[in-house]
Amino acid sequence: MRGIALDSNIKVKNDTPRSLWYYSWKRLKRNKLAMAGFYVTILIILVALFAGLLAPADPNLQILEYSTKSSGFRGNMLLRTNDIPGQGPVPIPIQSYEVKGNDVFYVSDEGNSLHIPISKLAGSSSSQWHVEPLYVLGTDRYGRDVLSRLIYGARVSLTVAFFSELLSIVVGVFLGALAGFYRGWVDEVINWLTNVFWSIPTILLVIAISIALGLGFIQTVVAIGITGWPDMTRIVRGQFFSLRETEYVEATRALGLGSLRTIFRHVLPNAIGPIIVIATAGFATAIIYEASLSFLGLGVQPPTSTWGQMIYDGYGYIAAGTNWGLTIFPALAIMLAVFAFNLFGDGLRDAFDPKLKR
Amino acid sequence: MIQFTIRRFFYSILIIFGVMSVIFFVMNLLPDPARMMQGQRADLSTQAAIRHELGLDLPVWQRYVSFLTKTASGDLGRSFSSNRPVWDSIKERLPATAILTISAMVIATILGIGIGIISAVKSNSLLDNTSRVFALVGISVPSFVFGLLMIIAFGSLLQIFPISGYIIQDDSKWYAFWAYHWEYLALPMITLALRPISIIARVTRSSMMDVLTSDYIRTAKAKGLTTRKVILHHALRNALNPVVTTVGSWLASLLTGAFFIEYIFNWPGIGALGFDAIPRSDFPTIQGTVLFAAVVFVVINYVVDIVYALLDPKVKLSGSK
Amino acid sequence: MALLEVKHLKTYFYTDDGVAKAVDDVSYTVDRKQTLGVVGESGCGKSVTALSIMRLIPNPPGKIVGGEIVFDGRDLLKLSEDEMRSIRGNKIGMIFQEPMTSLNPVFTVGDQIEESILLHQKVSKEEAKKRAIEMLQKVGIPAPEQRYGEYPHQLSGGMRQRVMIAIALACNPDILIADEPTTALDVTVQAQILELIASLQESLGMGVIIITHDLGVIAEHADNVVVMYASHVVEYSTADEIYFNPMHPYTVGLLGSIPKLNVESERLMTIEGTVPVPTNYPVGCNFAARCPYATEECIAQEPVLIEHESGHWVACHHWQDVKAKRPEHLVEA
Repeated sequence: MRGIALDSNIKVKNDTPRSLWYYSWKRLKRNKLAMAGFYVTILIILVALFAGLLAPADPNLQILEYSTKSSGFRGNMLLRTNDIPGQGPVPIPIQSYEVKGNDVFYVSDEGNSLHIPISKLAGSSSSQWHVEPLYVLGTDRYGRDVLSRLIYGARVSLTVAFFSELLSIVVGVFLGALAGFYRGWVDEVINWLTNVFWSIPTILLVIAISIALGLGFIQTVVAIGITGWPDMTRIVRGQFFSLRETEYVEATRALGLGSLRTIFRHVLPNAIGPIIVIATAGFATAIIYEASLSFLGLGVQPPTSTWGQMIYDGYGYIAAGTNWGLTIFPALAIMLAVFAFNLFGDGLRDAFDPKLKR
Repeated sequence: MIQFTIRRFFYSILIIFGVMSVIFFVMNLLPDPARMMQGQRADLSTQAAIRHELGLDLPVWQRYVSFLTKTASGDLGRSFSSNRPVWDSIKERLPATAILTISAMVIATILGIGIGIISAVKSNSLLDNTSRVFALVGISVPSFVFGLLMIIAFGSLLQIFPISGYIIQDDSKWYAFWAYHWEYLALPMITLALRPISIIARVTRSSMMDVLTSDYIRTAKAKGLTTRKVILHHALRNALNPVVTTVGSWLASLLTGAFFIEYIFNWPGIGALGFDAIPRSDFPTIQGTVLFAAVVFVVINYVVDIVYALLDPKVKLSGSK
Repeated sequence: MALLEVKHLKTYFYTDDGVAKAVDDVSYTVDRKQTLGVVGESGCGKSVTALSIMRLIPNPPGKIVGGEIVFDGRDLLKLSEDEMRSIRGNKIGMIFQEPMTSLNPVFTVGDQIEESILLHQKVSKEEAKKRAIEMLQKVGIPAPEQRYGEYPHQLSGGMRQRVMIAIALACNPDILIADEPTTALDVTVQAQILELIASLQESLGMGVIIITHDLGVIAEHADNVVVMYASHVVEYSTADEIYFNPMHPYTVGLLGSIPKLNVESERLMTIEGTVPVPTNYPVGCNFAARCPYATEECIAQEPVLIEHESGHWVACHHWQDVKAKRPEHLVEA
């Protein structure tokens, strides 16, 4: 046979070579849905970060007179200086008021005619001590502003998800890297452990662990984080198995570089794409778990507002057929957050997947 | 093939052993159950008696061994609240859970695979994009959230379906349920099926897309086969392998989904049993249901592995060699 | 009139980066008992032409936008999908580059040959099985009865390619299109497969189109050769003419990159430069940027495929210069 592959003799047309990141980002930007997910994700993160500025009211301020008001309700209240120093003013819901001399005479929400000295009210002018706040999404059973609670709830959801996912990544990448790099019995044991954790229904394990650890923020993070690693371990292990064969890893071994150095300097950076993809999906799942736990009353404890807790509070009204908003608004918040993350994560996966280059 | 079956069997046993160990370890982190059973009022001698009765005064390794042997013989302990053997409660609740999960899985498999195929064949069409977005919504909604939305929409607003569960009559066979009481099943079944439908549709789609661009599909087309035959005969058989795994693992973890859904829809299954045990701090029941769900998961995965091997000629052969 | 005539075929792909003219005005013919070699580097449009004949261009993004493919007096591009199906695998068989992945892994070899027979011919299952085993024997597979029930992964690459040939020839087609049939195979196996195709052609009398990037592959078997470069036919003649009287600088380059056993210690020629992108071809000659003979004329005006010598078509402004300055070793005959 006289032939030899011709193609190897001819230089193939090539643009200036750029990094995988460049092409991934380019593909991601073309994916409109994924970018929509990305922007919504950024928006939710901003809302969580600046909850204090954005929330129209104190999320834990109870005004029992305003219990379960519907969306768009406008309050009418006087603000009295708090007797306890350092605390915010106390609202007095009213129907109407008028100023007579040094006193303010008002008809309270229940219809009683009462009066209070102006000096006891917060601030110096009526625009400061008399407010008519708008409750965009209504109020809950204790007369708390639903919108403000939703905004602060985003903060809980995202922080829990962030830290638990961080924990999952650390554990998952560490175990996956060990298994993928050393193979042999190390791999066997880690693989077995992964399968064991994979077999225990995650949410049940999360529930069991959070019961065991007690209730609170850190406990929730640990419970979710400690169960989220098997997916990460699997993907990292798989990446190592394929990357370990590649020439540059062989080359570093030939140069006598230490194993750990090889892992961190040469293998991990190449596995970063799949790790990000799994982490995004894990983040979305963590939001679901956090919501599920707080729905069960096992998450971050009241009075801190969480979406799951809000749904549980609203759930009682469903059977009665009233106040659906109390369930639906936090439900929509969870769905929107998780959906946005999944959209973005899906787009990332497509962007990193070299198969789509075809 | 027989060797493969046996080898996977022993590996499954090893996994179950691991699962039992993890659960034992987690449950040993618990605050003292004796105190929790008696509340704050219990005097110290009663607590000590309970501890002794439960074997909590023994060293950890002895308790571990006794936990393993007891569990292996089917003894999951007694409920703290009702003092009934946990295994009896699980057995009693099993039919209700089986009805719910099997119905959900059948629906999910049929719809999921169907949607996935259509989506792959008509890829990037309006139909495909719509079903992809819906599938993504499907995996983004926590089951309890979706359940509540279903209750609001169909139970409260439209009043089409009853929103809470049924009671198994002692005189009727449980499988007769499908014929006579399906309306009770509708909402919890759809709620439970939503996630698996979405996931199966996504897996089927991507697997099918992969297969459709493969060389042997081109060969099949070059033979002059109809598109229908190429898709249903040549592509589907190959695309099905990852789908089988997905269906299996979802069937296995449906018990988990059932946990919330049974509670929300007041469905008297194992999930509701475990759920109700949480506020009562009834640890043996929680532990029993978690363990049961995990074992079911392992067993179903084992069966799936075998089915997978039967479907794929390569696995079949390498197993027998 | 030849059995198969491709006339001015244009197949374009509509991609995000623009319209890729993968096949732009390509013509060739092949007749019964004749072997046509189609040569060019990857991406030159030779495989797309073949897939266009089968009408297996994935649409979208691909579309046949012009030309005719006349087979047995009928324009294939005007047939309905049903009519076209009765031609694929029946009148025209095709084998592909990757024998490792071109067979369906979940069906037995026998099933896959039989499927074609049952589809196109009214025969019983037993008869189909008999013919499938016969085909396995014809393509030189030992113990065909046993191989019949085996799965593709149990066969070597060469064996799989033989099975592919058996599938393509199961219905005794008039044309066999072999798209890089030996590229993925070992050198020794390559020769066997080519021999097999040649001997089957002799006994069955079909026309054969062999697509390759390697002029050496078809040296012994092709009657005519089409040289393609960047979606165009640049030279078209008998095999002897192409080998011993090349008139296009690209063909000369291709010939120079074939290693020869009788020429000692000579470096293989390479063609410098890069192929233009199909979405953005230059105004003039597509090869100009890499051509040692290129002049202003080449950059400004695209050369047309013209029959400069009897039966020898070339698309080059400077074919006479090429002929005159041809490297020594090519004129060995």
